[in-house]
Amino acid sequence: MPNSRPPSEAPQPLDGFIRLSVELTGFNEFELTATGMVEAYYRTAVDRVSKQVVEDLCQRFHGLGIGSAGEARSAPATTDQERLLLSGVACAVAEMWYLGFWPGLSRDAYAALLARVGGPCDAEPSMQEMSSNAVCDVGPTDSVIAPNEVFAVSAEAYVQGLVWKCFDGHPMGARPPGFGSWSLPPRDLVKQGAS
Amino acid sequence: MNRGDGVNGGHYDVIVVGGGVAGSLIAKELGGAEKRVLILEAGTGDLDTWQGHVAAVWRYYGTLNKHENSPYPPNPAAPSPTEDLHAPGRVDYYEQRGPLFYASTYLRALGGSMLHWQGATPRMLPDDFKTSRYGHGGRDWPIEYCEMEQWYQKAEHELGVAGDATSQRAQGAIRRDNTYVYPMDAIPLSYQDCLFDKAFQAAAKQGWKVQMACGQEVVPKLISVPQARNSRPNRDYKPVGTVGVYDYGERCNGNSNCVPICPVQAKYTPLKTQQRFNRETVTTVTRTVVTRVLFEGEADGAYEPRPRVRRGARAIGVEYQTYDDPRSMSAKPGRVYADVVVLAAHAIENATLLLASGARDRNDGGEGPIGRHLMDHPVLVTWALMKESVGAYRGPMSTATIDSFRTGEWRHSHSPFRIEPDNWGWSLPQKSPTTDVQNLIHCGDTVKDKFTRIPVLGRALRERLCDELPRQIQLSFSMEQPADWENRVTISEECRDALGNYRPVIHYNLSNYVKDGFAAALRVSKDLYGVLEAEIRTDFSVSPNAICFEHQGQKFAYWSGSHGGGTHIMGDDPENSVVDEWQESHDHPGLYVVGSGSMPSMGTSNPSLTLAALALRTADHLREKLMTYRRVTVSPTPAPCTPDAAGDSEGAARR
Repeated sequence: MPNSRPPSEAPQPLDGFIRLSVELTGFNEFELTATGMVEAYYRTAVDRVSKQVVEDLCQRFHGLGIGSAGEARSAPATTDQERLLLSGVACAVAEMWYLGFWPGLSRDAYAALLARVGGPCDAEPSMQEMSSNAVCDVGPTDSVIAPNEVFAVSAEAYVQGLVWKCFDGHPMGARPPGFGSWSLPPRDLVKQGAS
Repeated sequence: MNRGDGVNGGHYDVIVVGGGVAGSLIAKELGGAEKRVLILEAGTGDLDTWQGHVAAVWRYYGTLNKHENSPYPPNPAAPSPTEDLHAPGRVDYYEQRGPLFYASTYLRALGGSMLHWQGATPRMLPDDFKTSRYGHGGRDWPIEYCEMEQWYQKAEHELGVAGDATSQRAQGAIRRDNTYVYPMDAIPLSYQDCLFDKAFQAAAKQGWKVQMACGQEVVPKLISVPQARNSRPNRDYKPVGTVGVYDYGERCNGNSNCVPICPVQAKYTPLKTQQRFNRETVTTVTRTVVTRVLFEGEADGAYEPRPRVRRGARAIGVEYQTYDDPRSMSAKPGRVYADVVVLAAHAIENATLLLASGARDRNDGGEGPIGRHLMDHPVLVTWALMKESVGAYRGPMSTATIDSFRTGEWRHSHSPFRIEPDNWGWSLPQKSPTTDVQNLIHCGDTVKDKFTRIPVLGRALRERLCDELPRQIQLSFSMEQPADWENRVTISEECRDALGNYRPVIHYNLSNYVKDGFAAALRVSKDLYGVLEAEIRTDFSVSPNAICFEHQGQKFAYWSGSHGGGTHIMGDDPENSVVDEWQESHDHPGLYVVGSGSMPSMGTSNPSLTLAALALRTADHLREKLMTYRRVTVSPTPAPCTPDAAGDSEGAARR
């Protein structure tokens, strides 16, 4: 069976990020790409913690002991600082997929990040409202990272939040299911045939 | 729409301060009767175009803290009380003097607080109009309930209310007219409502009753709640569609976002009334903050920081500041005059403006009733987890109500309350589902040593959310708060906004009568969850926006109803009230102060419908009264043309 995506059109970092996101969210590759948010989230993560850290996480996620099964697996040696940083970034990426905003890192995780890549000294996450541009579109840089702040990726990111998809819900304020739909039994009961 | 400098020095029949529901209804009625009306709105008017509306919806999507005012841009020139971004549950703009926190919000923008309102429109009950007999500060309306009924009907028509007249008639809210139906069919009950109703009915058949402190027994009954939201029209009612787009409208299609903005404008907002203004006679001006009312007898051109106006002085106009950029601290002053001035800027802003104007001889030296009797609906919220999915997070915020506790003998002992089953999971008390995601990821599951937490991620995260979120239920108990002299709005020289205007200074507390109501409500809540076999998850300490207090050794919490009222209270006695039954100031002829601030008691119903009914009643009164202000001179009928007059063309023209 031919490869569905010619190699020249599939940048590797995104592939790795998609695989990581599947592990973090419990949604499959197709569900995630259907949100249209893969690239925006990748760029946000890179902008916040650097490309190097994102790629490191993609490669070493399974060794952190915070996989979907919650079990520790055998892995290359990881220092405590590295584990703290990569776990923090993993949690932030998961939260971003579910809620549509980058939540920032804990003080300790951000300190570990600064020790690794350098950058602004604001340790506590601060609130940063979405800019007037709809999509976060900054190029990845390795040497300068953004301040540690809560960051709304875009308006569309809220609408595509996985939190709504995981229970057949709809984002509040968007994708309305129709007049009277709230009177209908929820999906699982309909499937089971309960009255 | 014009800026304020276009009206400087002008004269109108009526000036309306505030472009919210009360001001819009009065302007529409009087403009339709050929009166020249000027609306002065302090905030911006961005949402009366489709582009402005869509921009507000998208702003909401991208906001991190999705509070009531989040779609509407902050306006330093006319600030609104808004949930404090740095301390959720707290509001900025007010100066809080306690002892308890007053967390109610409103919105200063064209359309007013009804841009972000829920849309619930229950009527007050007949007993709510005569609450002095219960003691505890309750007051009586100078208007009989039967007189209000026609105005309720008119308001329901104007707002486009969808409701079930049968159940409202059964509880005495509709008395006069056996044939009355609401403009639109009731919004369908949610699946959750039907589950609750089945459970309550089954339990009642087994003899279940709720015991109240006075000995009275109540069988809770769930009914549809009337709401101003497009549904199936009755008879020949034509629903009102969107503002700013020709020939487009939707009935409620389940966006589940009534608060703070309905993306398809199925919910009524005053912008819909404004669309129907007589454009020849009604002028709307935004970005114009009225800073004080002008009265005859004041030295022309003089401006005292704190004027003092004798009782009996007639209102003749207003002074204002008009601005272009809300962020700028510069504004242009101006004055405009009228035969009648109507303050319709919200209960708290009305009081602030009256005090800033020095009305009633500076409020009887500070001891008068202006700003006093601040009342609201403090809300008890409880929440639980059902055994099976109820399909939470669907539909309007609430589609049902339990009115069984709104009146009864217990009102002699404690506040009555209206119970609202909420359709949106734990979004109010716990900011779910956001916090559910965050708790699972960051707090996770505790491992054996109780110090290490493993984040819940991946499939486990998805399954946990899928399991819990649809089972979340919540009940809100809106407590009546009687008029209390000590709860008040006042002003202070040090508390100013960016333009130098007074910010409201709030003194607020809950009396023991209200706190005893909380205790009764909590008992009823446990009883209801017992019948529903729901696992109670109420925990005030984890709620980010609960305001906690202790009462009789027990911890309680309240949320704000954002139903501020009472601050320019209505009554027959000028000594202990601010306005009469027509909402005209006792002390200043020609000055009307309208809105929930006039209400002597609010009962347990959302005040919007009642204040709309009052506004329509006042408008009708004003239409008659304005006829006496200007006598219309009718030219004599021209004499028939005679041969002598035929050559006198100038004489003919004069005739």
